[in-house]
Amino acid sequence: MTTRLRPNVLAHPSPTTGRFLLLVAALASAGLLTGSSFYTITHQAEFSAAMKTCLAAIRGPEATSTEEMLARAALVTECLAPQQRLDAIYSLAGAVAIGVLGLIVMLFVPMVLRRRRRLRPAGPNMAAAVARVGELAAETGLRRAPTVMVGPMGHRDAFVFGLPGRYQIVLPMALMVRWRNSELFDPVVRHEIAHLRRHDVLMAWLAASVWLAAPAIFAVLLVPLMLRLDASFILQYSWRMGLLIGLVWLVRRQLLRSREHDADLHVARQMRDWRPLWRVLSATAAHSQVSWRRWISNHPGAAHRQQVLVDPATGPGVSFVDGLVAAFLAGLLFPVLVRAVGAVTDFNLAPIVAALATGPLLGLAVGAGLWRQALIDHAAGTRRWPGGAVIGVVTGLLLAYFTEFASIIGDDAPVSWPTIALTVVVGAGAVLLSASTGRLWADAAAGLPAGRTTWTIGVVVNALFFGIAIWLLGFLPVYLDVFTTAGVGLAYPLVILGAIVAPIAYLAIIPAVVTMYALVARRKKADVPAWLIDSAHTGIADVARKPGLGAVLACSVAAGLVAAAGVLMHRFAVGPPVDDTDSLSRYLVWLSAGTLVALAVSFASVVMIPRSGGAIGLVAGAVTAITAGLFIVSINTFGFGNILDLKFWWTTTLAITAQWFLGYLLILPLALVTWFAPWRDVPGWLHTTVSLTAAVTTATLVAGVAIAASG
Amino acid sequence: MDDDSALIAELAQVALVSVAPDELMIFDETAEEYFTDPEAALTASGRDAAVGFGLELAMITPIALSVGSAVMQAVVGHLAGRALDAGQTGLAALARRVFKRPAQQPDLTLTTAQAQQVRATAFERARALGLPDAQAHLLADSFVGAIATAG
Repeated sequence: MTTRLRPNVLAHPSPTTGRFLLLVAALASAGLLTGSSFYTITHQAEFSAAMKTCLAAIRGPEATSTEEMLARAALVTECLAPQQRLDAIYSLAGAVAIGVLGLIVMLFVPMVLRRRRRLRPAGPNMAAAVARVGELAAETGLRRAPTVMVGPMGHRDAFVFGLPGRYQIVLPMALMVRWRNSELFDPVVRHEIAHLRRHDVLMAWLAASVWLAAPAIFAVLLVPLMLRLDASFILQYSWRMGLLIGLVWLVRRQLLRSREHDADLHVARQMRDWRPLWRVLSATAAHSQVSWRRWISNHPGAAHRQQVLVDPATGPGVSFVDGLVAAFLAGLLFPVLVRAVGAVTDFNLAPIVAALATGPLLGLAVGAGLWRQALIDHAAGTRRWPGGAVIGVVTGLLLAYFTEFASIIGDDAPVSWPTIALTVVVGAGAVLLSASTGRLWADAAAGLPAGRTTWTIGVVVNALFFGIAIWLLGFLPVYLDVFTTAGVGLAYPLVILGAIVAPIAYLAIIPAVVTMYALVARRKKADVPAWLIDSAHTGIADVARKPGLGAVLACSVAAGLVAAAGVLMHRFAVGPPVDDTDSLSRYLVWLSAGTLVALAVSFASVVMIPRSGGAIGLVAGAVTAITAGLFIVSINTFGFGNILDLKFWWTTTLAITAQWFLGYLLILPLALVTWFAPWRDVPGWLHTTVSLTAAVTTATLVAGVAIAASG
Repeated sequence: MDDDSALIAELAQVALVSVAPDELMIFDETAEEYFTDPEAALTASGRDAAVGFGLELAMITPIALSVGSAVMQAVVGHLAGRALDAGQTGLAALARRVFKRPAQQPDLTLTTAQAQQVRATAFERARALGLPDAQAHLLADSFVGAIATAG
């Protein structure tokens, strides 16, 4: 029987916070992009002249090697740096302008609101109601009760507004006069006070203010566009900005809806009973909503709110829109940040810095949300499918690709299908990696530290997952383009892949260690921790506890050995290499054997282990790839007497691991298919048997094909 | 507030005693707001606003005042002929004589059928303004009771 407990969804970072960050990032992005576009339009001639000068400086015979090509590209980048810096300044100015204007609007909002809605402080004839509001605020733990305001009779709803320290609660007259009716008055007032307690008033009004301020900044760009009298520019800019505004609008409404659920659950927890608020909601006018309105309304329907009160596990999780907006913004911001960072620092470092800046955006809005959902499911005994988030992220990344603002002026670059395919694979893979690791983390909940520590780890891991994904998307298409243009074939890019991936590989150690820790911690059989539930009784959750870390590591090391054995088999069959070309093809056999065997092991984990299989496949595949690399180079050095070059060892191992990781992203979407499989545990012996069978088969096939090709 | 409004307010106030006694403590300011702009007082503002609980909690007072207006018109309609005979021209004066009739003018009393029609008018108006059936019945009864007991 499945253990179903009432989860304490407030123990986790709220989706409202993630959505607020998304909103701020969206509006900041809009500012950045507007600034950058302003620069592009107003400095187009200057930029063209600089570009001509820079290209003239490197003019000469065609580059004879990839290194020379890259060196020339670096020279051009350095030469264009002053223009790039100017672009960065304009971009920053756009973002700052939206922020400042938003803050100014926010300062004036209370005054405008009081005037427009004709609000006034509750009079002395309502002193008893005001006193009751004060009592409820004190009970909730607010140091200072909000000022109670009333509006005209047409005003029938309650809300809170104002700035910190000067919050105001607006109550309809009909509620004020019924202050003695505690079944009606108290839950409504408690709900509004919960907004203050959860600090989401400032959040909601800042979001509203920046939303109001943004069009003024967007309009600024229209001036130079109009002056150019070119309708195509205006069209190019308008549809892009329209798309961005549309997405901001969607996420803003999501934010407003999710904060209502948060406040409802806060009241239920505070009153130790969800029924009083449930009864008030029964009497509200907007009882249910047609499905499409759920996406665009400012409020969740009363029926949905009641449902969430009864069963908090049904509350909003990471939605398609969260994924869409977060990925769209990350994809849009990344190139802008690369240009901006590259203009002021080492250009090679810029993509990593930009990925580390945009990764947390997706990590918080999508990754942390998926981990939150996993912990909620852990207590509630549910298993929500992450497909919506996957589709949202992939769609968002694709939209960002097609919306590249840099091409507002000038010819649009042709659509690159390999880039589109990579975007789909990397986007979906990153989300599923996060979702699976979250499941594993939730399985280990009984052995995890409570609250903030767990969440800090979650946010860091997810920021890294998505940061790495964004970096890959920024670098891989360019990388492939460079080598395709240079016509150097597949061998060279594969050989140097390890060196390029190295800086990111160090960052991947953190999620790997966390995943391994969870594999150990989930073995502990204990009650669902009190911080995760909202009820007096607890119980042991039905979690997956097998395979354990020991079995996974042993199986992976054995699989690495199998890959090395395949390489050895090939070597014995075809003898030592005869020239450099032959050596290079042998090296490619090493890389292929290590990569494909690691992929086979990961594949077995994803298919066999529902939900957390993606995380276990991560550990199993990574360990297999690393051990395969180490065994292969060890045999080469110690078995065949080649020189001991630790740098060569490291780059070979990294190249196998990097190739495996890229391939693994391709396999990960399978986790969506196996998500609802009913079994939980997969015994270590079974996992090992299947994984090793897959490894042996793959190694034999690779060796066989390589031997056949040599013959 | 003119005489007509004052009388409607007086009548509504009596009706509210049984329907929504809580609202009497702010009756004067509510009535004043209603007579300034009856339409605004009866219409909800800011539906699905960006912030808010999602309540749709209306005061009964503006509805009672609106029903009071309809009741006044109905009563005047029924008694117009007799009022002319009695030399009364003002609506308020006529109604006052119905509600606070002196003993020497028994002919200005509503018949049972007329009282039922007034009640039906009050009920229909209350329903049209969105009051649930039970409350609409109570309000209509209160108005008829107010008329009957006013003298």
